Amino acid sequence: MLRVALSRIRYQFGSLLLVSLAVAAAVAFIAASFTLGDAIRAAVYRETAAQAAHVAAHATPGDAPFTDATVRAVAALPGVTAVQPRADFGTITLLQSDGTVVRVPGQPILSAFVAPVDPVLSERELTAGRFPARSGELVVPKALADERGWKPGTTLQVLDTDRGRHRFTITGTVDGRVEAGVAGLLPADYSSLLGVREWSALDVTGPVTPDAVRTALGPATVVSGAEYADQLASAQLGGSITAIIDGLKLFAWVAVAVAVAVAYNAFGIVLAQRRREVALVRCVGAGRGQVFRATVLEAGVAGLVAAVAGYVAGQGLTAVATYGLTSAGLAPDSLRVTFSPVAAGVALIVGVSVSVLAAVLPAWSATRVAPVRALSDQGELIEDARVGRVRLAAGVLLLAIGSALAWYAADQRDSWTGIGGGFLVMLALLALGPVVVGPLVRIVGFPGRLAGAAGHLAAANGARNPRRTAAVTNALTIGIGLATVMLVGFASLEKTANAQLTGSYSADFTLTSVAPAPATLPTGLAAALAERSPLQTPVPVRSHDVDRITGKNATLGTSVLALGPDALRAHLPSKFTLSGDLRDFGPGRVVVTAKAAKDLGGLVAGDTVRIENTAVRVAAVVEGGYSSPFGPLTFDPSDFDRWYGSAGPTGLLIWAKSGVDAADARAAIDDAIAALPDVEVQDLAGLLADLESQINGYLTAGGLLIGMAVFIAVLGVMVTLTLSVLERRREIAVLRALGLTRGQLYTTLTLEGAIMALLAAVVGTALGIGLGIAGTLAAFGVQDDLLIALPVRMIAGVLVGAAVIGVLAALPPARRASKTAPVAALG
Amino acid sequence: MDNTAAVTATELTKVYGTGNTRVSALRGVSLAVPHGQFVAIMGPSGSGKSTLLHCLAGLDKASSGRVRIGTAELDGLADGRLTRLRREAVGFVFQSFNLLPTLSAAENILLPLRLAGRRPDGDWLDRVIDLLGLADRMHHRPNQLSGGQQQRVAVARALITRPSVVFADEPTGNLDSRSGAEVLSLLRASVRELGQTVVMVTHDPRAASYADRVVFLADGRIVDEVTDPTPEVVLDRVGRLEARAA
Repeated sequence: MLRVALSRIRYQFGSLLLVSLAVAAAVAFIAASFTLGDAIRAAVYRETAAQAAHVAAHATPGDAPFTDATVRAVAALPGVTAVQPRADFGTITLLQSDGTVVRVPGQPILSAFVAPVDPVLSERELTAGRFPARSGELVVPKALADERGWKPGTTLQVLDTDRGRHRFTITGTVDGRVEAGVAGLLPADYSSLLGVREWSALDVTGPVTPDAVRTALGPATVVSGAEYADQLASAQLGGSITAIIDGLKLFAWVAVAVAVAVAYNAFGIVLAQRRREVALVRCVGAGRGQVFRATVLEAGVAGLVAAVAGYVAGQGLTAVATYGLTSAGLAPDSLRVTFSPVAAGVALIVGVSVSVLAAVLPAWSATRVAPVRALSDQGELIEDARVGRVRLAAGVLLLAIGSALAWYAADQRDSWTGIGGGFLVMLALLALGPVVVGPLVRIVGFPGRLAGAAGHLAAANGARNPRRTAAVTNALTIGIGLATVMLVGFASLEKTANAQLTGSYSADFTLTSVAPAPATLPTGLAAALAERSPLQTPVPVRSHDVDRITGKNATLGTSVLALGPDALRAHLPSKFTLSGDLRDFGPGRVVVTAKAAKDLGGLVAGDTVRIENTAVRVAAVVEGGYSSPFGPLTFDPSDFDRWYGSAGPTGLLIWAKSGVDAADARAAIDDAIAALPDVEVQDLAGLLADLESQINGYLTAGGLLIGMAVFIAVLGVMVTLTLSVLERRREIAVLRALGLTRGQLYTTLTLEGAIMALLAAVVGTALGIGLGIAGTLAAFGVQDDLLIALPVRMIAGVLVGAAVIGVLAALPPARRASKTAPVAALG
Repeated sequence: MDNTAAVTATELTKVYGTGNTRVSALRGVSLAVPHGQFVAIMGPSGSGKSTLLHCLAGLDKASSGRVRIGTAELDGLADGRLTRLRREAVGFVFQSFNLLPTLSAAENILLPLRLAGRRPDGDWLDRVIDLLGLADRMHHRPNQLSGGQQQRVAVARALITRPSVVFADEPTGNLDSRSGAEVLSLLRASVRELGQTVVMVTHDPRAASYADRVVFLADGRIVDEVTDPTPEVVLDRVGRLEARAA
């Protein structure tokens, strides 16, 4: 029997390859995610080891902070050649030599890092020039230098904490992201100019033991260079990169699950085709066990082939992913694809076990073939339309429980219950698939029927073997369902964030001071901006952090705003008033947003609020929350002067004149503040664009992940159609003999593929919309103001895409079928 | 009865393979089947009778010679034209019925018309179903019908387009003798009552005796012919044929 199995593998390599295709694709994804994970881990350890290679001891402070005195004390230890202080964060303001302030989009405050006192202690790699050697020298990130056209030798100005200007020369450029620091200064400059007096860590080089450093420092934590390297590595691996790899692995496992469904189908068809052969070997004396073992053995060999092919493809995928990750800056540059024994092992196990698992049921039903079948020479036109009642009952039960859980999760904002509910609904789908697929095919296939005989046949074929159709479409349904859940989730988040940003009313631009306290904007800025033609007259505001605001039995600490009553009435339309009247706003009165009013115990107009110990009356409650441009509580400027003394504005609210392009308005503002440090611009249009590109980024990443499952599902449609075309060879020949043209045959088969894919898309999107809404509520519902959005156009795109995919997947089998000679019907 | 024959074959040859594996299945067969005639083709295994049927029906291309169905020449027709010709001018009855399992009996009967995008002619459909004697089983699927009933549905499917000729390939091969007799009577009736032309390949002398004319094939040639046969006469000729071959 072993020999029978092996000889069959040799002679039927074609169909085996088809079975293995989906398994190989899943193995490729799994192997790639494991290889990538290992490669990234290795690269991180390599880089951190290199970074800590020259560190003899790494010290972090205990109770007392490290100061320059600590640095000097450690440097005086015997054997210490250099001590490198590190700082967590220091803000810096840079000006170009022409006086223009250096601003980085999306970064209101720029940070600086400490330049190495000895090049071997640098956290960043030098890309040009040299590290600073004396006061008045600095290094900058290559990306920023390239953007600004800076070179070693270019001079810049650094503002000290008193806003005095200091001339600096760029000595070199380094690797690293601009967000992680725009300039590297030597410790002396860093501490004197940026006002950083305390160091967060010290790295020590030279022939000195950690123990010696620990003794000198007293209550501090001191570790060796090797331990420091491990700390660095686990800090990096604890970050987003590990989450990405884990996500990749999760979706690769989904792809594996899909592959099981596809392979199960494929084996089922292959074995059904062989019924006669099986009957024959049973006739000549093979036992049921032998038939079963031979079939499973065959599946194992197919799985092995798939594992090897998949592993090779996976290495290719990893190379592509490596390139993508390093160029996106998400992984260390030294990332290289290496041999990962774990990945190879997982590939082998997954390949063989998926294949064998998928073959067990079909193999068992193959053993049920009665030997007498070998003697009947009637052509086999198989139809299997039976569906168990147990299946129906189990499916309905699962669906009910799953939906109830999802509903409960959405109501209770409980994400884990939501995930459980979604899982049960997916299981229900697997159970119910064969039951509902028949009627659904008739519905989805209805438009096809209008396309004449070809459409009619396609719809009938889709419904002929519900279990098989269900297995194929389920795989695709899961992929499309996941995609829809993701689309609904992101669209809702975007809509919510969008609504929060724009609110019902908002300022086009907000200028705030980021100067050290008192953070007032430069005098004359409002007047300068008022002269710019694209802008309306700016509205100056002053903000103040109040620790204790008391309402009705509730207190609140928040940042409140003062602004002229006329300006407020001009820019806050009265239709947003929920209670009271904005005309009552003035000295001794306050305007409260709905959210703050609720947090203060449900304030309405006329109520009294105490600011620290001063009582004011609520003039009006308006829509909005804490991000309102006018603050959660708005006071009259004269109250502010009385309480906090008079001072310049801390912010300006700016609206563009109507009909002015946002970019033109922004350009006017940028020009006005070009030479003014410590001014941050918040740009509504810019924020919205950022938000959109961020969401699009997530969508692309999610799409790629789900693409793995969809890819395998499409392979499944193709494999199933190919095999069922082989199985229906005689039937196709009959149709050809009866006058079905090649074109009609093509149409029939492609429609069949389209019907399967559309079926999956309809069920998948319906499911995805339901679970997506429930899931979004469950996961993010704790956020107030969560808005649910249905990205109708994208979902329609998914539906159309699915139909196209179905047609494309059907083309190769259709081509093959069209070669069937009509004369085969008579054979 | 008009002068043009329903099917005409002239000097048909069919060669399979080349060189050492070269086999001649037909060695110059000429045959004319007039309209309204029931012709049976008989011969031992390997005599070329199936090949002849395939070539006559346009399912296979002859190596040389010509085939006409009605007024249409089959040689040199492209696949599309040939398919349409089969659809419109030819009906098939197969040994293993070959009904589509997904379609009901009625849908199977109407399938050739649907493929052609034609509407069924109500009177004709009624006549065919009437002749068939299966009016109450029209909505059953093939797997709910007996072999004899399936084959009668297949005959109806062949007749529904009023083809120039119906080709039947061992139509009783998978049936018990009673069902076989029913199917043969049906074919006979279609010739007598509907004026249909039928060409049937068989190796069963009793089946052949239903025909107007029996053509005997051996080694790719027509070697004998009987008109208005009885089973005894056919059996006798088959016996002589086998004696000659021995």
